[in-house]
Amino acid sequence: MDENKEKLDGQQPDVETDDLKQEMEDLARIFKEELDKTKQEAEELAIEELEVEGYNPQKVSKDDSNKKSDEELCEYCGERARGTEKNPKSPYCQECESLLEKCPYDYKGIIAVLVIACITIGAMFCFAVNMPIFSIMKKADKAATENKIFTALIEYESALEFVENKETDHTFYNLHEKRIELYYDLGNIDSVNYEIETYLKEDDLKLPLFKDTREIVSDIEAMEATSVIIGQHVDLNVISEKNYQETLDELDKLIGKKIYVKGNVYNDSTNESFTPDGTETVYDVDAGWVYIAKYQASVLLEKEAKDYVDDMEKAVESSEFMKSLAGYMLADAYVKVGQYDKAESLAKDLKEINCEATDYYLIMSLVSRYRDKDYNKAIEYTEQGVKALEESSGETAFVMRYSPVLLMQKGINLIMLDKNDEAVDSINDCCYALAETYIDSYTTMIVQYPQAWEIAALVSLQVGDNDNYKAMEENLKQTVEDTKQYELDLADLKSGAKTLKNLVESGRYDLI
Amino acid sequence: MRIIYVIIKTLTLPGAMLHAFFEHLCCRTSKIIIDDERVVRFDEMMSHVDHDLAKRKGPSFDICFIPFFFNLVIGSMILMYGSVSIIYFGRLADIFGWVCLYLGIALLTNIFPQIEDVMMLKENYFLNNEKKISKVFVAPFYGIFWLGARLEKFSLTLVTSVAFAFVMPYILGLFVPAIYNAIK
Repeated sequence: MDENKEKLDGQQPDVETDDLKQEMEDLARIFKEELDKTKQEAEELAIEELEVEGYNPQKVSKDDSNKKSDEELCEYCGERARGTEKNPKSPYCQECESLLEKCPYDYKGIIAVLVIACITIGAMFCFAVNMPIFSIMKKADKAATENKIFTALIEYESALEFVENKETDHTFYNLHEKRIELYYDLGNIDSVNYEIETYLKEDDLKLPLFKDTREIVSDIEAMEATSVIIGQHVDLNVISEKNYQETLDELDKLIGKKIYVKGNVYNDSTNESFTPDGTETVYDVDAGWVYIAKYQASVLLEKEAKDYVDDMEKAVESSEFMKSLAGYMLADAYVKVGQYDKAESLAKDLKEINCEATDYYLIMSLVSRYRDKDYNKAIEYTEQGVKALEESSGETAFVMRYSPVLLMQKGINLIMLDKNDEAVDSINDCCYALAETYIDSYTTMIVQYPQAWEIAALVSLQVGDNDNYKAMEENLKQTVEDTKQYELDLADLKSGAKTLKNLVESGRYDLI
Repeated sequence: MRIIYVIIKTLTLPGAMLHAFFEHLCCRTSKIIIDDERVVRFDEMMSHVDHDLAKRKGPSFDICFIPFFFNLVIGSMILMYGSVSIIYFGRLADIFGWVCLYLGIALLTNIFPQIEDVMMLKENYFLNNEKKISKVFVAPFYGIFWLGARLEKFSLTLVTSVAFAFVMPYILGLFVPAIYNAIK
């Protein structure tokens, strides 16, 4: 068995290898025969096709050594000879020429081009019409980015006039939004409200682009609600030494409370009997406004600056708006309590908000006068302030409200330098500027700022300008009921008990 | 990605049509065979015409540059008014302003050539050993076209054109006030 097996194992592979070899050789032979046959057929077919196209194998074999140059071949395919039946000089062959010519324009494309051409002309025309407004607004934007708020507002005003003259139905929302923001930065609530009521509809404020304006409106509403609530809790018209501390405590209680407004009904969370029903508009009490009320109470009772400087600090720190609104009052308080460095620092902050505002020059003038006793430097600051106002074309009301204070400061500093003749001119200018600020209500200004007319009368008397003295005194006595302080100062001046310098040094005539 | 591409192109159809039209025009003037002349089609060839690749330098540049240039110029002219009126002035009731804003964005979304054309431009100008000044002139355009074609492939040109619409008033602000003052 084993031997047979060995024989089989040794013989069988040889038989299989031979058969396989034979089979492979047969296959190779058949494949070669088929390949040769196919090649032969392909060559014959190709020659036939070329002959159909006019190919002469004998001629080509002669020209093989002299192939066609690029200039003679079709510019497009680079394979066939140039020239067509119609145009033998064509750089393209017959086939390519026919392909290049067979692509008509899609009529939809032509229509699109015509429509877009018309729209382009219309767009350019509309842009040209709006170019003045765009240019003015861009100028205003530039001024606003440089913190020149007065210039920016005046330019926006010009743009608005242009828009109104055009009598367009479209509201320039961004123009109004920018004006509202600038008025708010200046602390001018009345102008913000006027802008919204005059130019915008109620629904307009719901537009996404008025996000910042909505916040401004909400802040203003909270301030107004706070004013109403303050009025419900305290009456500053009847403030006296007796109820002074009680009033301050009552105001302090309001800080951090909520205000609930429904129609014209205002309630706050200090009122325990009131339960909100969820339909009211809720505001937080504006702390800055409460501190301002405390300041007013102190000023009405002619308290010393040290009594209210902390409240004013808190008011100014409560928001940027309050800084613009009450910054110069705090600076004045700092000057009065001798914190000159803080006043100087605050002046610089205010210049960053609006570099054209005279607050900076006013505060620096006060610092120069009180700290350095440098009256010439103080006068220089007031003159720079007036110049800054003139450069921002100070014709508008919001600009005018700053100039009287500067003119008064200049007059006071001139008095300190014994230049009473020049001082009387500056103080007279101050009175005229005050009158021009609220031209419709001359008497109101005398009631609000009687010190201006008082010092004008006193200086006029000192320099011997009796006509002006009488005119100013007459204006004063006709409109102001309580002239007791004036009478006292006049008597002191006439008797020689006090000089003009002594009177202005008291700070009573600073108009701040 | 293809679906997004077609959606974006459909949304900006006027721009796609105009680009295809200028590409067609360019193929005709540059003697390039067009296989499909449709300017409105909803596939990956939307905003382009189906044409053979340009084998020569001039046509390969023209086919990228001419549609780009015309769409850019016309789109910018239209967008000028649209972006100033709607975005800068905030004149939301200005219907013509909205039309211009849309058309401007649509045209600027479709300014770039297809990537195959940009590759042919590269092959014709840069993949040879010739030392020619034209390479210097074409190089920045090639860069813009290559980047733009890539952006367009991912449908990002809509984002760039919307961004351009917002930036437009600032760009105009650099020279328009000066021109206005000079005219005044």
